[in-house]
Amino acid sequence: MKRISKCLAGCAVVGLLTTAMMACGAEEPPAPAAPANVAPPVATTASPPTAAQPATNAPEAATATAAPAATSGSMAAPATDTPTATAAATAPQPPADPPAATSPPAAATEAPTAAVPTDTPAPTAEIAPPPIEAPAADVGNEVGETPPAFAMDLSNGSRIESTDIVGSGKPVFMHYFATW
Amino acid sequence: MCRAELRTLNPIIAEYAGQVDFYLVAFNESAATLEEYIAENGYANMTAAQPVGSMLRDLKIVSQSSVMAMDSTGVITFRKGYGGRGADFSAEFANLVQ
Repeated sequence: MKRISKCLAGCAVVGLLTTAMMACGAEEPPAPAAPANVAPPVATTASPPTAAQPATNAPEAATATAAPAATSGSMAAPATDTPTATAAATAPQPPADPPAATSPPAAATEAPTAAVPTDTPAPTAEIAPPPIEAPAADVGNEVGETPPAFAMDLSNGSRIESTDIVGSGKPVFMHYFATW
Repeated sequence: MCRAELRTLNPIIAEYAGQVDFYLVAFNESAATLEEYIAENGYANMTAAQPVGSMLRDLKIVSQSSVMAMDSTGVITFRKGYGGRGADFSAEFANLVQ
């Protein structure tokens, strides 16, 4: 009897455990799955237009950041409309984006071209002055100095000046002579 | 003195003809007188010249037989006053053409 009672008790325990396990197994699987499955429908049913708009706008906004200012006027009107209207609103956005994207590069290309011409003339103007200052010697009558300007009349009737002598590019030897 | 010095200079002037312009500048004389003297002595490669205005005073040439040399840029490379009979100016001419 004792053995029978133990068996019955054991079976009862086992049965309870199995039922408990079954109960837990039935309840546990739905629990993790439920949140994942239930949440999306709730979200879609709660606000379909708002959920759809951010999903469609997010990628487009990522591609063109300058678009919101220009498309804000068109976005305000479709926000009150149904999802079909939002779909129509998303269609015009691509055309609006290319101009916004193309306009900045055009301005960027114009800026360097405008800067290059202004920079190039300046260096050429700066290079010119230095060579003029290079040849400079003290005026005087000692060795290493440039004598004051002078002129001489030649026997052939012509006149030569000190600047002509220097301009000839040849050295000069002058001997002050008297026949007496 | 001047005449002897010019005789010494003549071969050097001929050696550097075309490289150095040599002017025989009249000192209290006319260029025509110097031209005659050059012709009488058979010198060549030298040009007689007459100073204009205050050239001698400006260049501080106070006596005959003075010499002054300038390089191609117009800077004085050598000068000497009266004296120096038989002076050899070969070194000065060589320096001018360097």
